[in-house]
This record gives sequence, structure tokens and C-alpha cells, in this order.
Amino acid sequence: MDPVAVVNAAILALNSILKIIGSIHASGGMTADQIIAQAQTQTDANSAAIAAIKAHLGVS
Amino acid sequence: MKRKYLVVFPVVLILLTLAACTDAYKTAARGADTVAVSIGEYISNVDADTKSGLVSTTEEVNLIRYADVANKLNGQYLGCIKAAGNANSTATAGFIACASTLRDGLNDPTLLASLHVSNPTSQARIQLWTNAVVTAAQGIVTALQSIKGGK
Repeated sequence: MDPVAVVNAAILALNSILKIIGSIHASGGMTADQIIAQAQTQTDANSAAIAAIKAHLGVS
Repeated sequence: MKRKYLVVFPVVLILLTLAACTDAYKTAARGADTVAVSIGEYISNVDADTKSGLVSTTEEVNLIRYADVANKLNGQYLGCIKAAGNANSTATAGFIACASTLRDGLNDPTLLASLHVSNPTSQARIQLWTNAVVTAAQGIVTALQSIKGGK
């Protein structure tokens, strides 16, 4: 496999993992209800992204 | 070998972070947020790999279908833990039932079998994020079961 592609994949994965660590860390001082609201916002953003990709693909 | 570390690292991290939380409702909520962020990262990776030509349109349809199912399951999980929290925010049994349903849905063998990408670099990345999503769900169950005083 192309070593540059492997390194790029590793960097992308680590960046993504850092986002998750940041999210967990940021929720440390929040109440359960506040964390749920944050999770709901992310879930809604995921739904919007999925809907946009599905529309682009022409699938329901 | 490096790829194995990339998979193991987030798995251990998620389990440790969730296990450190002793409040059942908060643990359940934090798990939902972790799963939601993992799904978001999965979608970003699929989108980027499709745009760069690593994932075909046919493959993307199946990959996005998994994201859709996973995101809907997590939405249902959010509703489930809110109801469990309103009923009794300190008893773990209700939260564990919610998390088990989420984990089993994300682990559906038929759904997972459809996640095939012919490009090995992209396949490794997709597998990493699928593992992160499933492991986060399992991590919620494990963390809730480990909370002392849980019923």
C-alpha cells in the first residue's frame, strides 16, 4: 500500500479521535440533560448530512 | 500493526472515559454523545473518500445506509434514556436496557456485512469508525454495569 496514503489515513483517524476526546472532555462539567441536548444536536446534524448525501445519490 | 493501534486506542479511551463516570444518567448521556460524534466522523470519512474516488457510488449507498440506521438507533436511544432518567435517574437497569438495544442494533450482522469497500485504505478507515461506533455502544453497557449501587 502507498505509504503516503497510510500516513494520511492515520492522520485523518487521529484527528477524528481527537474530536471525540474533545467532545467527551467538554461534557465533563455538564449535567446529563445538557449532554443529552448536545448529543441531540449532533444527531440532528448527522441526519441533515445523511439526507444531503442521500439526495445527492438519489436514494430514499 | 499501526492500524491495530488506531483501532485499539479509541476503544480503550472510550471505555476508560465512560467507566470513570459514576452517575448512571450522565454515563448513559455521555455514551449517546460519543456515539453521535463517532457517527459524524464516520459520515465525514465516507463523504471525503467518495469525493476523492476511493469509494464508489454503489459502495457509498451501503455505507450511508449504515450511518442512517446507526443515527436513528442513537436517536431512539436518546429518547429511551430520557424516559429511563425521568422514571429513576439512579437505577442502572433502565439505562442498560436502552444501551443493549442500541448495541445490538449497531451490531446487526446483515448490516455490517454490507460495509465493504474495495479500496483497502478506505476500507480500513471505514472499519475503524464502525468499530468506534459499536465499541462506544458496548462501552456504555459495560460502564453502566460497573457502576456501584446500580440496580
